[in-house]
Amino acid sequence: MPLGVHYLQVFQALLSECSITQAACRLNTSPSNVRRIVSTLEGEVGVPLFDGSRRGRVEPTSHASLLEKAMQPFLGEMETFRSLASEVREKERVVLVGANPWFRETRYFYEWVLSLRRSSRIDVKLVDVCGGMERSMVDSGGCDVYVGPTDICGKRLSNVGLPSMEASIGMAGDQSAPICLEELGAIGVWGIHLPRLRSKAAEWLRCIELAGGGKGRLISDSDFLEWSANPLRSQLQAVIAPMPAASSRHQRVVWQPFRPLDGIRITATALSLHPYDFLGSTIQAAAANLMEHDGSL
Amino acid sequence: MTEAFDIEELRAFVVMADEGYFSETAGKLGISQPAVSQRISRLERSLGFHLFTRTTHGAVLTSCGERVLQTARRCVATHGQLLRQMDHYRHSAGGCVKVWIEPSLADASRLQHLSEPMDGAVDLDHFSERRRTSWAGQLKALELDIAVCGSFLQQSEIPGLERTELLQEPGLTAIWSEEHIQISPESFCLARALSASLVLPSSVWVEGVRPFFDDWCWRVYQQKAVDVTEVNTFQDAVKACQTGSKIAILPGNLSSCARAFRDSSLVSKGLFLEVLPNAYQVGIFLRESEASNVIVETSLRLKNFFGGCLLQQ
Repeated sequence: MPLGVHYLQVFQALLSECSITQAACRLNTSPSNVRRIVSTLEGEVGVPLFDGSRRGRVEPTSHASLLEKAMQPFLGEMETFRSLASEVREKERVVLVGANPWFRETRYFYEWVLSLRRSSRIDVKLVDVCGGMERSMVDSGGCDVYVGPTDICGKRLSNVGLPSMEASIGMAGDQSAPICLEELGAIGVWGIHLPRLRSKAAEWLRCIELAGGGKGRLISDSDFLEWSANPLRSQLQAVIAPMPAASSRHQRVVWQPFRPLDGIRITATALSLHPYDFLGSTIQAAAANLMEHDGSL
Repeated sequence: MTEAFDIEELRAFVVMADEGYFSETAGKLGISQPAVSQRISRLERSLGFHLFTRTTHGAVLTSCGERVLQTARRCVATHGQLLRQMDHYRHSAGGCVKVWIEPSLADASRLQHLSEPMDGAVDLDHFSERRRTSWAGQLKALELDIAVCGSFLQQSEIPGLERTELLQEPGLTAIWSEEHIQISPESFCLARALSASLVLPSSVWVEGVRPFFDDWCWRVYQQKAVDVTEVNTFQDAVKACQTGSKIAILPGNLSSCARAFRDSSLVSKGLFLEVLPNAYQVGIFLRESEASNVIVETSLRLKNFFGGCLLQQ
């Protein structure tokens, strides 16, 4: 763009250096490029800006000083814009982390966000993502990164695998939790609470049954709430679910990791060409951080 | 990862923020829709934050986008100014000065006179009814270099413009043709004339006559003129009086246009001559501290020229 910032900066450099080679050197470009830009500018303005002599030395004409004066307000505003933008970049960048509401209730998510906050100076805000809206939320910039068990693919998106989310088992206060799948058979009625991931829940059921842990059932949100509010009153002796984030609702339930079951694969998805240049590395760092605390999840 | 951005990207950002839709933005910028989207994402990547949240068709500003929008607007505005300035400079460096002379002041013989000593260096912009902005606006936007025109009861100083006085005249003058309207100048009465067909100068010709006239009639006679036609030049006003039973109310005491007036069968009566001294002022306007010598020289020539011929009358 003639009369854009870049052309004008070349012009300004040539004006102060009065030498094509030195101006090119200062701008890290070639003398022929400087020559080309100045002649384009002269074409645009319609008058000669420099008187050339042989050895690359040039003298500004009277027209040059007029252009120099006329362009100052514009270059000044551009500079203001640049510095405001970097101020915004330093201070006001917010990473919008999107997740399905149920996933936000898990201890896993809580820890992940914590480690995200720890790993850099960014501000993290949480955004609810409804089931089915994951891809469009990331595509549109509605959230900067989506975390969850849902795989979303798209040519503009890139996925980062996070440590898997382990199953855990919750039981009323003082009972000791089973360590292997067979022991489940001995404790009586148990259930699996994983209503948004039916196939994973079915897989867990089958796995336990095959190992001799007996038949359990899938329990709904309302049953789960009722049980966690008062586990002693309920028929359910134990519930297998991703470990919930610390919550007053679960005061009487003790949650422990339940290793024998396969974990749930979790992926973080963001635009591959996201304006936040730090986003990819931040997600990686948070994932690594999570690995270290893996035991507790 | 700093990618460069330039004024084109900022313009796309500002227009997109105003329009809200990619298609409208593309239309307004005269580029394709993917080009708009490319410019905006290039700018976003180079800034390091999102400016918009995309929706199915359009985009909504993010809080970061809102923070930088005003400054981006100023960049685009100052760049527009720079373009206009250079455009203007290109013209004036080529020896071409755009002058607008209010047509009542510039009849054909005068114009010819005027361009002769200037070796064709003056590009005279003739009056055109399709002009969108006022001459003051055109002067400031560098679309015009010099304007010669009159005003009635207006503040003589316009911010940003420099004024050279050419002529001052009192009050208004009513003219009509005795062939059509049998009133002698002595028995002319403004209150009665209100029921006749009136011709008044439009604001393009002389600013201020119509508002003053309407206001006066309402306050003094509690009446409104029944039938008013606005004309853009003195010549049109004279023609209207010669061909029909119309009374024209014109600015000044008509010494400035006595020549055209003497040729015809019209009679006149001065109004408000004592009450409103110096109400009608004709001046040469140009931008304050004009840097171009060609323009300043042209304005001096115009001053000499008009000063001479307005005094002659």
